[in-house]
Amino acid sequence: MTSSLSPLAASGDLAVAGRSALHEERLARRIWRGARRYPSLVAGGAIVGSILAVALLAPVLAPHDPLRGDLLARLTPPFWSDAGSTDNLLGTDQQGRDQLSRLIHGARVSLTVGIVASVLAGLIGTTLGILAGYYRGIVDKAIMLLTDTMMAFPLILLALLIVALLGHSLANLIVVFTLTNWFISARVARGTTFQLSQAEFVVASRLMGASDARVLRRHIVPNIIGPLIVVASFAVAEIIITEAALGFLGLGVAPPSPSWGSMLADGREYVNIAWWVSVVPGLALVITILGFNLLGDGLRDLLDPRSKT
Amino acid sequence: MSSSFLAWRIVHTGIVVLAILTLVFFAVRLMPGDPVMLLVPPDASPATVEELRRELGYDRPLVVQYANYMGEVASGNLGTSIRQHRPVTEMVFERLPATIELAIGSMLLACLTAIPLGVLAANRRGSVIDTVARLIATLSQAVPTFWLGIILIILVSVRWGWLPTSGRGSLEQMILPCVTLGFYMFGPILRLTRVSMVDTLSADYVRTAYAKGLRPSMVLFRHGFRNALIPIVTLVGLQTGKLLGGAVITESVFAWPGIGSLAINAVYQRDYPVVQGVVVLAAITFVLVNMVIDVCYLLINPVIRFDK
Repeated sequence: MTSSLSPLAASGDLAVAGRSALHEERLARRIWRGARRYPSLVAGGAIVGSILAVALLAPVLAPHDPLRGDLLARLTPPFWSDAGSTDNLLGTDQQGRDQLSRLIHGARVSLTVGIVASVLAGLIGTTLGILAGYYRGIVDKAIMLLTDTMMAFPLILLALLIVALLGHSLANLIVVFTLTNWFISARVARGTTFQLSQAEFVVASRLMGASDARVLRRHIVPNIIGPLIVVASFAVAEIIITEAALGFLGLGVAPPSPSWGSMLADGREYVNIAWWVSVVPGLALVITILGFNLLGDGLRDLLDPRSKT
Repeated sequence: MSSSFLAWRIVHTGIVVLAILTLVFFAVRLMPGDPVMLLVPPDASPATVEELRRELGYDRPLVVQYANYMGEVASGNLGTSIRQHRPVTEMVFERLPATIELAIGSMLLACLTAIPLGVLAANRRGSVIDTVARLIATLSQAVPTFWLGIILIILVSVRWGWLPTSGRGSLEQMILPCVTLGFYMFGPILRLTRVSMVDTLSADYVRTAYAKGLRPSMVLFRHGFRNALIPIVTLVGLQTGKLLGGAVITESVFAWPGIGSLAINAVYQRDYPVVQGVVVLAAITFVLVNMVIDVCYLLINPVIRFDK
């Protein structure tokens, strides 16, 4: 499915060799031209970029303290409703806390867990995948058996079990999602590495006496980064959904820190009288996941034009 | 058909099952804290704890414990619930019909909508149908099931009062959980159907079939769809395998009494043998379903050769 040699990855190889400013400029222009041809990349990038900015600037952007409630202003509807006010644009929750501020701060939890865990899982998976694909033999068999095994587990249950045993802190959530996501990038890295290690230029390089370390660094790693970035982008979306699911089931980041999943769960009891408490964090989730999925789609089209149908 | 493949596939499945059991065994013991403490109610006295430790053999060497565990599993014993004092396997089998019902219902719903729409989209690439189909598929992968479930409950059950909010027994109670879970599966199935159809429709034999003057609908289904089916059947099979391990979220939202809600309730009650049993059974089910799919291919299509 994934191509071995995408144009961008090949030029990444050049960049290592040349590192000229001219080349970087050409690369930038090519990325821009590509971006216009790939609408999902632009849309996904814009969504992800905005949410990242919101998360980074949360203390500045949030109009209220996300943890302080006002019991006199419980379950205020959003501003467009008759009973709503512009003070709490998206209304308040069952403790009178500002929904918008909680939403903005909740982005930090989702993105931290999603991005950190997917990067860690990607690094671990890629390393194991390269080892398996390059050295083959018993190393390959052992690592593949481990990925087959991991793949069989119902990941949400596994995550639930581990979180229930370890306790639900932010760090534990990151550990859980790293443990339950590394094998996808391991499989992709292994397949691509194996393909590449048979490619003529790699064989030639080895015949000329290049060491394993050199072949890996110069030829393998630069060429498998493309597909792995795509995998990582989808992994972020997957992890954010699962993290929210854990929060929804009451096993996410410990309260009272705002997380989208737990906000949604809190609102469940009030769906009859205050639908927005559940609906609004859900929308934030949908938009974020959509963003990372579109980004993944777009990156795949860009890095592997043959996969575009 | 090669019997050596069959033999190898069965051996491989056995190895993966062993790996699953080994991983779970050591993972539970590597967790910080005393595993015996997880098996007793929080208010148990130290004497009870020690008694249980001896009874379960936790005071013996790890290798002995491991051998015992494997032996117990081999004889069908996955542990005993510390809350209900019943065998875990018994509790799981009790919930199995509900889980199977939900898995089949939602999978049927997803297939009956996604596959025709995928074929149509592939046949008219770039058309409005194609765009709409892909849009729904993208949404299906971005909307969390727990949120969709809540929205459906708010609208369909609470506001309009058309369907019950939860429970199992009647056909009406099945609709919302199946729609929720079915929508989640809709996206992957549609995408794969579309890609697979686009691939086969560009094959030489399809062009030949058109050139012969065959009816377009005949080419589409005889030559196109039939050959595009293999990856779709794989995906549907694998997803069903996953669903048989319980749809934790959907079952929890709609209070559906399947394996998923059994597991989540066990997590809440800190009934770890039950959680562990469900995890192990779900993983083994998935591996077995996976093997059955592979073997079925071999029987259906002898052209397929598997690389070891």
